[in-house]
Amino acid sequence: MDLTADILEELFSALGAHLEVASLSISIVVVGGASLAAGKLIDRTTKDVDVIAKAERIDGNLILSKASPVPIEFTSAVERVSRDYGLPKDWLNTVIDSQWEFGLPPGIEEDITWKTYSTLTVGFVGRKGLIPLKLFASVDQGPRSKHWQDLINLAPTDVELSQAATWVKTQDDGAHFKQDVEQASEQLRRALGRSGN
Amino acid sequence: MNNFAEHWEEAGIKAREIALQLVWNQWSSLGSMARSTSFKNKNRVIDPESLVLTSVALQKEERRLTEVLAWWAHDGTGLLSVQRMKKMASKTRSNGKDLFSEYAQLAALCGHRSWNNYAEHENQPELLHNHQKDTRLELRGPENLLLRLRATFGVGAKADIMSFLVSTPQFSATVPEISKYLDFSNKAVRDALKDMNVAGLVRESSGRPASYSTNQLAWVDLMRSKSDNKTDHPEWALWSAIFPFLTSAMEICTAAVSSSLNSFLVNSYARDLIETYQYAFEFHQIELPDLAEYPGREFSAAFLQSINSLASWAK
Repeated sequence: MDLTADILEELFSALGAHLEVASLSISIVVVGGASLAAGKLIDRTTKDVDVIAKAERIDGNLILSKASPVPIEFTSAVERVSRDYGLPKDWLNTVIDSQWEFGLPPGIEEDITWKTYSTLTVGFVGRKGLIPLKLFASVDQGPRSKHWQDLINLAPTDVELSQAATWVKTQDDGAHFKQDVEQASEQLRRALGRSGN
Repeated sequence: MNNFAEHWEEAGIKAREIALQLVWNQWSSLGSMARSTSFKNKNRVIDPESLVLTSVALQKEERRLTEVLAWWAHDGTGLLSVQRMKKMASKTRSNGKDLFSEYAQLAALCGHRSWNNYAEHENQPELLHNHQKDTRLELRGPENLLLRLRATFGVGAKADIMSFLVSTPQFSATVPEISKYLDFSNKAVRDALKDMNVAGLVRESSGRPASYSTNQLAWVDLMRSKSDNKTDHPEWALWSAIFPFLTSAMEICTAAVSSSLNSFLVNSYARDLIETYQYAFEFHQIELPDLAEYPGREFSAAFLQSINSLASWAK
């Protein structure tokens, strides 16, 4: 099923209702297509919801932590929504959690739009986090990937792209990786109709 | 009122109507002064534990059931299995334990000591004064097959299994199937079938898993009363699934109409209910819609369709 912004709204509402019954209050941070669609950054659909972090406020400060493990009540509620809406069991998953190994884009927590669904709070990561993550995925999967297309649609400014590239370069020690990032950035600038450096 | 709310209201009314018609029909078959209803099919074998639990649950809907229950507590409790009823009550969606202890109180007050331990409620002597003193328990007809065998051989797994094997439209069944349909443990069913096989009253198939059957026609002939129509044949019915399905459906629909549960939960719980009792719909070949075609909050339409199919079967 292609998840539109409206369907995502319905799914998060259903998930929140079940979490309330389970007496679980939880905040999650979402990236990827779900964040682009639900955050209305791009008019597109997605197949799943990528959860990159759990969030909590401690002394007024937002603290993000790895998304997994999630409480069993959360898993049960996700499975129930999967059944009720005929979705794959991993319609909401924490696969992208592995990003924590090399760190999240800097300042990601400053650009999150929060929405509350009963006892569930969902943070949709904005451009500051999405552009670096999308650039990283594009370097990995090439200009034919959905990530590349997302980047084109996000149309990052030169400053955004430069900051993103700086972070992406820290994600891999490979001999040619930095060069690959530079090439991808340059290719993107051209695709966006901008002259190269 | 939107379509979804109308679905829940209609489904709730229909579930209540079916449940009440069925219980009155069955009580009238047991000889109570309850009037028979417009439901025609009276060959379906009565499951007394299911009937009692459902009648206790429906007392709030129909106070006259209180009189019938008081009568049954006096005259029929000896034909009930305490353990089976307790087990069935524990599987009921919400207040099964309360329903069981409410009846246990009644049975205990009527002098049935084996129920004393389960009677937790306050005394309800007014119920006992109301009971139908002129009514006699009459166990006739194919629908009373199980109670007649219990009255003859005693309350236990063997009488119930024989009733099932005599009346199942599938003609034979495996141990897990019998356990599921009769609410006994696999071990109790296996032990009983072993003895019944030794006695030559049931046949064991050579295949694996083994299935068990009996000479249905011989038993039907043996059990036939003078007044019975010769074509009448008892039919096993999964009342232990149908009745809790209906009473739970009533609860869910009430919650939906009163908005005491939000629409996500109502639809999800209704889907749980259909999934839980899907085996009974399949056993009786009651048509269910394709549940996958009714995602999320659209499920109310599938639920109403399921109740309508059940109503057609019940009549």
